[in-house]
Amino acid sequence: MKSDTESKPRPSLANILTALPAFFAVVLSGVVVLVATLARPSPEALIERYQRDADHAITIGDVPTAQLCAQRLVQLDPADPLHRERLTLVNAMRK
Amino acid sequence: MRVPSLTAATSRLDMSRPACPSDLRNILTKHSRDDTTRTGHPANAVPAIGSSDAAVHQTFIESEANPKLELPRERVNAQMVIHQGAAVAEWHRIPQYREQERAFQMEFLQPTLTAQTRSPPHASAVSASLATGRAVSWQWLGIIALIAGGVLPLLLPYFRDLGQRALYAHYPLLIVASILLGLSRLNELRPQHVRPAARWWLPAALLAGAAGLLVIGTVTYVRWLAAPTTIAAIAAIAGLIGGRDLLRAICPALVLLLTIVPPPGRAETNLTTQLQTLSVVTSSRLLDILHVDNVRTGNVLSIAGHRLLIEEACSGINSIVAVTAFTLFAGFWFRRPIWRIVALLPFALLFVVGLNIVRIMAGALLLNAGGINLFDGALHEWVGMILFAAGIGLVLSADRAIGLLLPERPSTVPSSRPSETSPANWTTPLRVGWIAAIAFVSIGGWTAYRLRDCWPAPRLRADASFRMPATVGEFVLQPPRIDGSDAETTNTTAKHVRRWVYRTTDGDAAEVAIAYPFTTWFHDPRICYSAAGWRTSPFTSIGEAGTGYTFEMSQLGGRHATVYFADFAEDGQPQTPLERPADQSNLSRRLWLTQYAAFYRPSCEVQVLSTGPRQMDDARRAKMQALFLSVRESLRQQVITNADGGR
Repeated sequence: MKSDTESKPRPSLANILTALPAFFAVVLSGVVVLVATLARPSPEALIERYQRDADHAITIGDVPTAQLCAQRLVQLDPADPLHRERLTLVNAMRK
Repeated sequence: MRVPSLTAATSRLDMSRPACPSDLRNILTKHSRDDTTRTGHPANAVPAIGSSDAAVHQTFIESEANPKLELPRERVNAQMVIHQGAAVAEWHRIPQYREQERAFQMEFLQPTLTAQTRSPPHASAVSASLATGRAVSWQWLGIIALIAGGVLPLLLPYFRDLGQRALYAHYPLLIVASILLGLSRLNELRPQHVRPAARWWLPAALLAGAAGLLVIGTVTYVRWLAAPTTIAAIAAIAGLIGGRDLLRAICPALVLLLTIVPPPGRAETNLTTQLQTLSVVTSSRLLDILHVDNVRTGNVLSIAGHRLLIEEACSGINSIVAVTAFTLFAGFWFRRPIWRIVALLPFALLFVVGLNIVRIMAGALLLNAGGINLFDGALHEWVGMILFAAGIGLVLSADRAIGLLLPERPSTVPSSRPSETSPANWTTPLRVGWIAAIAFVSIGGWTAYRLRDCWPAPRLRADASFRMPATVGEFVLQPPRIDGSDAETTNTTAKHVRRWVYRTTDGDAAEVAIAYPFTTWFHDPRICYSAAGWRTSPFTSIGEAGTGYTFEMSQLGGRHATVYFADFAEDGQPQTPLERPADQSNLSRRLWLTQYAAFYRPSCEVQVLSTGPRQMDDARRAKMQALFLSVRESLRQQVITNADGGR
């Protein structure tokens, strides 16, 4: 009767190395999905961050960044009139 | 019935002494007797009649020339095992042995030859059998050619349509891959297994079904039906010629061919667009985590000063079909079990979406950090090709990983079943084949006549030259724009697009674009802009019907845009929006659309897009409309000239 080691030959190093990229890709995909799901900032945290970035960009005159942040703020909280006012202001700066 | 294997017989050779011709004769005679004892009748070897083998022949020549020649036992043994039938066939051709071996050969060959030809044995019988085989082969070739000719009038427009779709533009490669796969499997098929199906009515029914599909496709102008018709016809002919074994051999090639059959109703576009949305949403979330400011509108992602993925916004991930097809091809080529091929497909999908996310993330981070734009120009093409190659590499790697984790058990099923020794009866299959061929040719002729004016091919070439006027009213033509800038760009699904920018001295800007070809019906650009995150209003006509149309758009961020557009055929005739008959059921509406598309002449679309922080006032609108009407007429004239071949 053959032992287990005889019936199941050990895979060669070349085979293992060839299989590694797919293994890492699958693991990485799982990590990315987990991170994108679990570590996503809350809407409040995002609003706070984009407000800070928008104000800073307006202060230094970085219109594209200010416009982007203002647009995102309107997306995140469409009901807040302050965000719309900020966007109007930034659009006027751009003009 | 069984193949009389000589392996066992030759194993009885005394390996300690050399072989001679009488040894070979004894082996065959002994083997024949063994078989007679076992089965009750002489061994009906089905030698590869007419096949010759120089090595076997040489063995006997050498041994005849020098009776004392010591032939290596291994050589004789190997040749006997490999060339069972050929050995017998060649033996009787050596004049010196012909007479003394006549009795043996009569016993060995007679049953098969008598059954096949009812003619005298030996050379004449072999020749007759060969001649019959050739005649049968030529008949089948004729049948296949006629059936192919019958399908072609519907198949050619189908291929032309596939070539226009970005997802299936690689279809010629897949056809070549299918042929290679089929040929490789056919080469492995033993000739004695190629026998007509005993139940000939099954392939006959399949052929009838294929002919029915061809008729339906012709009547309803659904060229898509050419694909299932062709695949069913190939399967049916394989079944008629070679029965289950031949059908099984070409099955992988047929499955691979299925990957160039789009799902009905262009469902593949929805799937790829949804996968693109998944990629963009995930990328946006990851950029948020990495503290990179971004805004997603539809399938377009913006970072400071740049709008990304505009080209793909309404086309989705195009490599998905190609990678899936490669997965199937690799699985079949390396003879993986079905479960392993099926298990690989989700991995292929995962890798395509994952690599697309990597591309978006890398592009956004590089653009944000160093101003390197991966989304435009030659770099975009290179990145696309590298990621496609990476996807293929990952699929191969995943195949190896599955092989390591779940190793295959050696198959306990014999690789080939015993061959039937009854003579091949080609009469009924050939009769069925000829009837089908005549039916297909008749239907094909009718199809060609009925569809003679359908699906006209676009005449406007990809490299058609267009010259835009340097000034139009207050507008001045600008140098080519630096791609990847924050400026809006026209959206379209067309294969070829040319864009120009006009600007006035007081800052008004407009992008002019011509997109072609549209081969189904009047193209409504609002669909593409919606995919790019715009909210669009219904369009209204300007001037006479077909002159042009306009609609407004807005984005959540407070951007507004106005679009003017017009469609016209390659001969300059204006196209008008689709007006579907009211009160139609879903099926009848689809059929009506299909017929409409069949007679639709390839058209071009001219667009003028102007964006701003607020809606246009009437003065700007009038200027834009004047620009649109002018460039529309200029481009329309150039399209007519280009479509006529520059005459």
